[in-house]
Amino acid sequence: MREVEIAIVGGGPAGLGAALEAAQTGAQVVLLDEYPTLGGQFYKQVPEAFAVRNLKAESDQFVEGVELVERVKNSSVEFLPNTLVWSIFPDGTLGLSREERTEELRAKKLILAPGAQEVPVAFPGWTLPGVMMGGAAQSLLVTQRVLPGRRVVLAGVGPLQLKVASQLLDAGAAVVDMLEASSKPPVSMENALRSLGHWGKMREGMTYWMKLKKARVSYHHSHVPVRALGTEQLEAVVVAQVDEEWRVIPGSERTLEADTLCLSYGFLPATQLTRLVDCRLDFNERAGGWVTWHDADQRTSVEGVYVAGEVGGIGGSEVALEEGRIAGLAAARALGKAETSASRKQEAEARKRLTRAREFAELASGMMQLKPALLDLITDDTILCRCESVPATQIMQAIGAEGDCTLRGIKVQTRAGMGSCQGRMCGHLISRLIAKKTGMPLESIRPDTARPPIKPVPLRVLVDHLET
Amino acid sequence: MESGNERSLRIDSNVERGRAVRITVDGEAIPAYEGESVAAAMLASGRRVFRHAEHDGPRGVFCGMGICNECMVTVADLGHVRACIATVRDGMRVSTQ
Repeated sequence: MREVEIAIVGGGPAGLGAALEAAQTGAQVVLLDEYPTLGGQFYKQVPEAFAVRNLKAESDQFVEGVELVERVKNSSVEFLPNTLVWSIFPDGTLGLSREERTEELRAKKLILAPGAQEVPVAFPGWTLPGVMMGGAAQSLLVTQRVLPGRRVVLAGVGPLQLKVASQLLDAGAAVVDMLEASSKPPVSMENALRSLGHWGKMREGMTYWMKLKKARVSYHHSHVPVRALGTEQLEAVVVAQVDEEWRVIPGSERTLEADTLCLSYGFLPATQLTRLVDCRLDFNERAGGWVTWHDADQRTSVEGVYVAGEVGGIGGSEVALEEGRIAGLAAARALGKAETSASRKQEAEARKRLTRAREFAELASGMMQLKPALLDLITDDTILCRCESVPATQIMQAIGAEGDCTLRGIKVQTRAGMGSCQGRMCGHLISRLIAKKTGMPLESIRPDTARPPIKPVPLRVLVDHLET
Repeated sequence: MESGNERSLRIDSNVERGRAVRITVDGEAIPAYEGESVAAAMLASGRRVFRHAEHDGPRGVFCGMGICNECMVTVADLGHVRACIATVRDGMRVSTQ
């Protein structure tokens, strides 16, 4: 079996930062990503077979991604595309699924940078085609260069949907309405950003805001979508006004015709791999709930395993990039490298930038906290587990029955969380429902056990694995 | 090419796509380009229903990043495939579920 010095899982900002710094120390680095291209869900690069005509016409974020990816390609880093890490076995061996085959890889040091997922928020009709995560719409726009729809309603909390709306307008879609659940529009971040001197972020936000104003896009704070309507696909969205606590104000409902509804309710750390290797997880609601514990050198509680980026708490791309750099240098140092004064200087600079980036992350997370009343949108027959089509009523009945206040207990009783997404869609919703029904604090409801394969793999891969 | 088509959902303003490839969805030929995801090609052709859930209704692209599996389709010789992260290949035969 092949053994390398450093393996990095995930080619987003954190993984790219880690790969670059570790490789610069002379360490042997393998970077693995499930996607064909590097960049991850933040940089959203175009496929290899596509060519951008004029890079200057692209967003700063896209261009930054191009530059980082180029640097990695021109370095000694070995990139394995289309490679899913479907398991990490008890002896630390990585199980890889590549081109319908299984491969195994061992690494002296492992850096996990799997990123995050968007928060699923359930309401009647949310399973209809045309209702999608904001990130899905962005991937279609930026990576695939395809419009997700023609008449789009955006909903969620925090500044992210300003960017999605701006991208939709640029691409020629009609933005029917924008719904911000909180009573504070993101533009209220302006003063805080200004006082802290985060000029870049402030400019970016204001650019989107001005573009939306100029296009006369309708924007409503204190509003949420309460129902998605349609038979085979989305045809209309019922929206309502909410109070400070996000409780629907009776009589405020109105219906908007739309073919697409994008949801941007924040992010959850993708902890499947860190749970699989039994890293310590802590609960930090502001950072997305269950986060992977790490020290200042990005070391987890498991010897030889490091994390970088969102998996250790939602902090955004700049935090991820700097944590990645620090993790890359720390892992290299543990192998006796990165002892030069140049490496020390790189690290000190990364730490300085990290402190700044965390300041912004703290501001943004403050704007993106969900209020419990959002759960009140769920009706008895709202599907919560999309894989197994389990309605809320079955889950509510199961909570507390036979003493079950765990995700595992609910799964055994109802099949919710047993499907192919392994609870990624319903887990956090059910945790919140358990907390609501029983009064238990969210931090007492642990995520379910992660089991390999952590994402679907061809049966051939598992058979291959058993035969080797 | 359908770039002259005003109703196209493909955004052509600043990008050259890969060469055209032939794929079929439920037996019907649809335009697709090298590098595209199966989901993007299907959505661009106006197909939004990727599967019908057992005991429930239609489903389509939701997370767009390969974790919700709502866009699962069947590809001849490959089996179940997440359309949002699978890349089209010339001659690919896709069936909705």
